[in-house]
Amino acid sequence: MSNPDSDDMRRMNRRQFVRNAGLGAVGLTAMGALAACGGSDDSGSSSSAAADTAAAADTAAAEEVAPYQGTLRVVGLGVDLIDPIKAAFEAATPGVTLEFTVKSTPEVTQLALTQPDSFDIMSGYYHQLDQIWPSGNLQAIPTSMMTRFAEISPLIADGKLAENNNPGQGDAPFRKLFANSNTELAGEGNKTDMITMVPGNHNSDSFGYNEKELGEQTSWGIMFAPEVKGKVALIDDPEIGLMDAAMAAEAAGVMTFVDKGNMTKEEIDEIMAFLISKKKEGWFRGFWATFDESVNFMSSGEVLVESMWSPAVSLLQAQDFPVRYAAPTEGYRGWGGGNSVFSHVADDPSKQAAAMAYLNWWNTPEPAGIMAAQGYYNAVINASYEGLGAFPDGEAYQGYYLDGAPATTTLNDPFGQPTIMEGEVRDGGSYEERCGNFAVWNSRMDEADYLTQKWQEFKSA
Amino acid sequence: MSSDDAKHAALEEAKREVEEAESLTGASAVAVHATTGPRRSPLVTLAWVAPGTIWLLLFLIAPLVMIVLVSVWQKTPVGFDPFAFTTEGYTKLFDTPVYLDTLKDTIIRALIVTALCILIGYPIAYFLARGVSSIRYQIALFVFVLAPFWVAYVVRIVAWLPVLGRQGVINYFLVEVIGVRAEPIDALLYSNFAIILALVQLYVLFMVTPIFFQLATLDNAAIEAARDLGATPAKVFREVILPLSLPGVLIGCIFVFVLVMGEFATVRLIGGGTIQSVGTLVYDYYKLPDLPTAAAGATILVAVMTIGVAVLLRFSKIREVV
Repeated sequence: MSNPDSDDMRRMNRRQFVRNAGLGAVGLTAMGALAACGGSDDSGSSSSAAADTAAAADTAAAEEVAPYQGTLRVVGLGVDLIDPIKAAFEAATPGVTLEFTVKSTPEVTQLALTQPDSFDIMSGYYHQLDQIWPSGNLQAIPTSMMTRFAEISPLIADGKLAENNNPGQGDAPFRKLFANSNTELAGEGNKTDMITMVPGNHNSDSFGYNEKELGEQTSWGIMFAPEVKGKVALIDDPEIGLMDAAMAAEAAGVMTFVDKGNMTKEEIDEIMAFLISKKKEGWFRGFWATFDESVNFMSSGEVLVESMWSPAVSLLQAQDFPVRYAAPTEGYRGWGGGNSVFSHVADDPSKQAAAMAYLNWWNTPEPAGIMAAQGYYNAVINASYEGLGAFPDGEAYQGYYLDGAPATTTLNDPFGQPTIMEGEVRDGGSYEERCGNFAVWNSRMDEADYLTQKWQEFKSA
Repeated sequence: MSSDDAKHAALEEAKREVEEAESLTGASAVAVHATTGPRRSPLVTLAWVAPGTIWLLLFLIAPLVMIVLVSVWQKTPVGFDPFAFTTEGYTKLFDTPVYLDTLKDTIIRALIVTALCILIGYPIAYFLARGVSSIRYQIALFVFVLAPFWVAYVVRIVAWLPVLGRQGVINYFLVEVIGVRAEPIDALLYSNFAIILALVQLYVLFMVTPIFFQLATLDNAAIEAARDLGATPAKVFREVILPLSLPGVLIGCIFVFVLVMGEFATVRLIGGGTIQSVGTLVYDYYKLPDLPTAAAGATILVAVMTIGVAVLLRFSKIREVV
């Protein structure tokens, strides 16, 4: 076909591409073809042939599915619902637009529980599932529908990258990945053939500290060391903030916990009594609720050590502020997330196919690269490698973000801002090092309500 | 004399507006002087009243009813059950002293801010209305007073950081320039002091505006009469100007008190998360999500605010007799 296709033909091809991608039956071949088609209209016979072959390989169910043209409504977190992601998906999937609704984690939980019909896809964390999953508002996804299921990082599937790694306490993804049904989680150790969310990003969090004032720090215990009195901030979140404080208290030898990911009432009482007494001493400068607040706390010199997210640290480092992201010997606080489809979407097979295509698209190089250039890891870590490799100076990106090597050139974030200067080495090192030692994962505790009550007491003490 | 008549009419007009505003804010209606205007057909009156009534029903009364309803619904893991009534939302609030303590703090804070707004706002309004004779300068200066409101809310709040912070202007001056302190003062920022300062800056305008309009429409004849009868300037102010401007002060108080009682963003940001108001507490419950408890917290807040406003209005009626 040397002449450009007729309009009808083009539309036909696109439909086939979308459908194929949607069913996840053809995997990367079709995704590649899809991207090629999105890129140029007269890419001609090769991609169309690929689609035809793929279409022939489809199951009988596929033939009933009309291609979806329209909007997919995604509710989720500011971490991954960003403009570059939206632009990349829409360019790769003609005819489908994304509508992102960005909310805080508790708000996403609330919306998923109370307004499931308002959205098609939830982008969330694994530790939200204890709360959301029993509602039946989300669909269990057969593992066969996840294109790169076999390639999921062992960290996400089994809890460890290497045999001697510490998987950590709490709601680690491998404990919440599998489901028995739309309303029941499988629980740790039960690998069923259904998953709750197609895993997307994960990372290891620790604390940021002012290296100029404090020197190098490798223990959470610094948060309660005398030299930082009045210059400590925690994230204002009953569970995450408490876990950071709990790790600090444990490291400082104040108390121990059986399971920091699911504390007992007595443990909560003990740590809270300690925290309240510290607050009355004027130990804490603040509790931050937003990314910007955490950056302001550190950059204004109001705090020397605080809970922090890795991009906040990068942002300050790029401005030459002497902040470091600790690689604590006690281990990191991990988090992992992914995407799931709301149950009502199943009523519309074409939309369902498009939603599944979106879920699987997250494990392809382009979005994985966009996220990896901000320091996040894809559950299919190969996708992160491939995505970073596709950048100009790709090897420099791969080296810095995944291999723990010094940056060989200046690296930009996905928004085009230079964030990593030449010669910098990522705090904590390589993927294997940073994701090899978890103390705890972000969790929803059984005593969450009680905990919140105590957290409020703490904040108003 | 005709100009005085016009002023008289303007004063009547202003008074009626004040009274209308009072009845809108929920006061037992002070008799509105409906007889002063030309007679209107009832249909016309209805047409004038309808938009406001519909607006209030839809956007004030209906949401309030919903909040009260939600507050007595049963919380479930997936939201709430509207067919199971319980007082759990309220009992949960009083399980610990947190809510009552926070409510007490919030009321005290609102009273302090309101008082400071009167102290700062009244002289500004007085100067604008009585000290500046040219109407052009009056308007220009009034617009100048409005200037802080041209800046976005968050910017106004964040701007306090370089002033009050540990490395801010004030601490720099105290520690580095005049050296009266060895260590910067922490309590300037992320403290009750900082919150009150920011709230006064934010809301003093709501005090200045009604007092300004009240003072600007004062009957000069009354003041001249007092002077002619030998009153000292202080006495003129105490016996004539102040009583006549009290309705403006009252409206300012209602604005400021209600706004500060409901505040949560300023408290959150300027308090650095270390200080609570009822607003931030309710927001925390909303985030949980525990909507019934959040609604219960909000219901009590609205009740307390209503009592506060009622007390203010009662006070004003006494003053009107004087």
